[in-house]
Amino acid sequence: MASPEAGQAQAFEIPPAECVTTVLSCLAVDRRLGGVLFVGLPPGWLAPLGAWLCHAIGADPAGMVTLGSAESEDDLWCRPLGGTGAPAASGGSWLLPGPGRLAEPPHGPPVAIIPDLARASLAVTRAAVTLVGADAAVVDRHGQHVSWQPRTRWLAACSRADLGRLSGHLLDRFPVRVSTENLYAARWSPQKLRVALAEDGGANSSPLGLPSAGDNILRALGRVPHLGDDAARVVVRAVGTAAAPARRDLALGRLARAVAALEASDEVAPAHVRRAAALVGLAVPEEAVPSAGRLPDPDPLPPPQEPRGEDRPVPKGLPDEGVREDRPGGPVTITGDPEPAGTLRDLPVPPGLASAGLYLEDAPEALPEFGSLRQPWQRRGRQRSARGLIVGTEPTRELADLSITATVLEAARYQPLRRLPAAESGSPQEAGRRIVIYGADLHRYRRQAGPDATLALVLDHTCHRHWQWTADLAPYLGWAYTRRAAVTVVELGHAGAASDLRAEAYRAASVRDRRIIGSLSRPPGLASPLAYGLDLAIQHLRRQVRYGAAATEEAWLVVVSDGRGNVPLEASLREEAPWPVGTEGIRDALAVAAGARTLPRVRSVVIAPPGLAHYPQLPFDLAAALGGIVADVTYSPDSAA
Amino acid sequence: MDKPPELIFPYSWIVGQQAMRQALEIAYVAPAVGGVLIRGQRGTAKSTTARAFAQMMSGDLPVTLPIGATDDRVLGGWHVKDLLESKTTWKPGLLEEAGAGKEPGMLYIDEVNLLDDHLVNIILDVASTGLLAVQRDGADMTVPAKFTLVGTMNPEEGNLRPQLLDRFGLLVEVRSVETEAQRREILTRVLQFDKENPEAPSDGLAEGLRSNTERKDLLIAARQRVAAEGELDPSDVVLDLAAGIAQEFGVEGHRAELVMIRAARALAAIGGAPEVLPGHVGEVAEAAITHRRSSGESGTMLSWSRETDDPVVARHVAAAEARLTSPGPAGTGPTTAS
Repeated sequence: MASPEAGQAQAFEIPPAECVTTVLSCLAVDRRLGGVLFVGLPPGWLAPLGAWLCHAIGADPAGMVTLGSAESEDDLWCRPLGGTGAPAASGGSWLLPGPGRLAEPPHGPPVAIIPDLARASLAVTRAAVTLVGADAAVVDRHGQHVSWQPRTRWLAACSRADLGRLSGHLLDRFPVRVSTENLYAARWSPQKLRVALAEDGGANSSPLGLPSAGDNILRALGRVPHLGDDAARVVVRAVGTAAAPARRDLALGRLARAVAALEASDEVAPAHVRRAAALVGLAVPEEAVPSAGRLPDPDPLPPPQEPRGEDRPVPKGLPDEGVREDRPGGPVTITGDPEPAGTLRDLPVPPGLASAGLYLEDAPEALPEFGSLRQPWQRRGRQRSARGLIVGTEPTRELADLSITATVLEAARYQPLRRLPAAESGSPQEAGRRIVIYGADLHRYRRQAGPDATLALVLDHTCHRHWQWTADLAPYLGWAYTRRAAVTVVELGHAGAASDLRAEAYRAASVRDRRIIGSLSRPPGLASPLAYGLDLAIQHLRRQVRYGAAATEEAWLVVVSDGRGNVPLEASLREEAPWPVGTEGIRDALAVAAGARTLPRVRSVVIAPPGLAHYPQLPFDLAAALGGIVADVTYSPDSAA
Repeated sequence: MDKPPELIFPYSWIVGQQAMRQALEIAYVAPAVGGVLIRGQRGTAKSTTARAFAQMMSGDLPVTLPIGATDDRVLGGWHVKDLLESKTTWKPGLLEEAGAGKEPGMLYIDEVNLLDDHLVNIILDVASTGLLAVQRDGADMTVPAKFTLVGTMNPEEGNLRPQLLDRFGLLVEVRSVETEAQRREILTRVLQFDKENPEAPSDGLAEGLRSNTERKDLLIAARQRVAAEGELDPSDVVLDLAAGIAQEFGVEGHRAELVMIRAARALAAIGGAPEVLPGHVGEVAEAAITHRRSSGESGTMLSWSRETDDPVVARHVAAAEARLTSPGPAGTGPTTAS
């Protein structure tokens, strides 16, 4: 079925269920595809798809690993295992670190599923970034070193609403995405319902009514069709946009190759690329398809074909059109294309890309959570930090941050008792040499906790010429006091600034720091590097809310400004006075402020001077950019300086 | 667990990314440069290139520091199983492993900005001093650990602090290839590589591996030349050039010019030049300066500008070249005034 835009792009639709099974079949055929992200799939429906994939590759579904919001780094990489062959004196058991669920020998689990990628734990998302599509993996935790060649196939699901706020870095690991929103829109026939009811729960059941894995998967395994120049051109043009990372080209190329293998073809034809592109919601520009390969819309699901002889022999050498070697045998440089080769920026964005909306991170207006692989976005209870000043030890049941000395000292108290069984068993000498440690002996360090709340205060001194702002700041300073919050103060535009073009920042352990009093009463200056000041504050906050386990749980970004920044960001960074002074400083401030919207657990407020005569809308623009509010500051004689 | 595959994407098959390749080669030829930070958007072959380079030079994958590494594996710690048997066996950490060889090895940190800051601090301290001091869990030792630090990072996940950036000798900003021909070439090569059998490489792969060997030999020779006494001593004009560029860009400290000079020597050695020329300094200036320019404490890095920054370097280089070609004491003597 041709798309309405068929005049410009060749696109055809594949029924959603067929889309899902074909993509899963492709993943079964070529593990290098890494993983598939199902957009719009309810979390509960991913496990049946994982089981389907397990059946397709001949793996036991029991070996499939499900990853969610609770998994920690230790669960995934290295978990304490009960050892066998422990000394008899220890009661025959001990606790040793062993490979975690994703590092199970020899190549990790056959299939790993993340039912809700947007709510997966930090450990899970970091694992996905590390492992999906990787050639090699390594784990170094708790005395254990493991390296392996991952062969895990990953399936993930997330709602379309969550897609836009996922890390671009994470999404990059899932270049193969399938829209499943219409998967179950079609009404099932009574016959299909009967089949689903009959098969539900069976070892070879077709999950949720999907057709069973076909024999064509088995026949396609090991078949590696050749992808020639024509097909490669179609792949690159189907992906189109220059913002697309190379992984997407490779994924579409591999997908097309798997489609060709499933059809028992030895050559990847442009039609295979079209089919693969349709699977992931891309349309192929018509001019990208060579006339010889411009085929009518393919059949919805070509029947599996018998293999035609042996695999195609590996082609010798690589095409070297347009490729120059810098030196004999050295790295190559592309010197040009035999055909007129424009840059990808010249290419139109395929209409399929825009309409499918599966690659939201490409859009200029995309605003994914910044640095989300450093801290999970969901609110969580305060965790004990593995960093910070050691202030003692405490019993523990975990192996993290163990205090060896305290553990051994605890165990030492019971040694005569514990060695007794060994002595009685006839090896008194052996028993005398060994120290027997039980799990109950384990002690970890107790560390000083850091503040879990932060107040970031941006003070634009140019705006308090006739305004006593302390009263308006009082609620936020009071909050910081009662929450024992750390305070980051960013000051700009005061007469005594070391540089008029830059803001200054310092961090105080609490609001009681004496420097804060001084910061509230500086004489105003002329320049207002608001963009730089906001950048500084947002960077500080990012560190506070992202880094490590001691991250901030709650933060306020309080911007005291009239929004009239008159120093562009680049001028601040270069420390060169701007000329002429236009509105660039204001535009930069709004652009930088947008970064605050991506910070989790941070609330923003703009406090502007009361009764602004000029540009009264600027504070509201700034608050909108920050994703915050404008505080109600009413003029009163008391607030006038 | 089996070992990772020995056959990884060959270095000579990498398409484009000239700046990244050059920086890695410089860091190998002149380890004193102090490592490379590769900064770029996703999908720009950062990791592939770094691994391929290490594989080419050492025949093995680099010692890799994964993002979830714990302190005991980074610094070293007691062997847990032995400890439970009342034996104390020290298990070297990754830093010691990377620096254990006769020649400095490579410590590769994928996604360096996802590591906890305290780990990054430790690693950079060891990288700059060449000594690993361990004082934990009753152990007290100092061991030499010399390695070339190669880190990759995606700025979408946040920046490194300026103080940490400065510890990397060179910084390379990589971008996606833009031409259709290059993208097609990458696609063709990677998909071709998928089909390769390590036991029976295709002619194309065999040629690529031969290219790797030639490149490796060239780099080893260059490294020996840089290490040799009296070889490629920079002239005063070249030294003055590096200092002048660093000063004009307002770089704090003197690490930038030192790195520039060391990198220029390496570049001259790789190219087989008889001496270090101003052009060599100009070629490495961007990688040595970009992350050291004073951009305040926010950590937001000012990108290198082709319009405003390149001409500054070009002007300095042209002036230095003019001094070299002008009659009179051309600055080759050790006492020539600048």
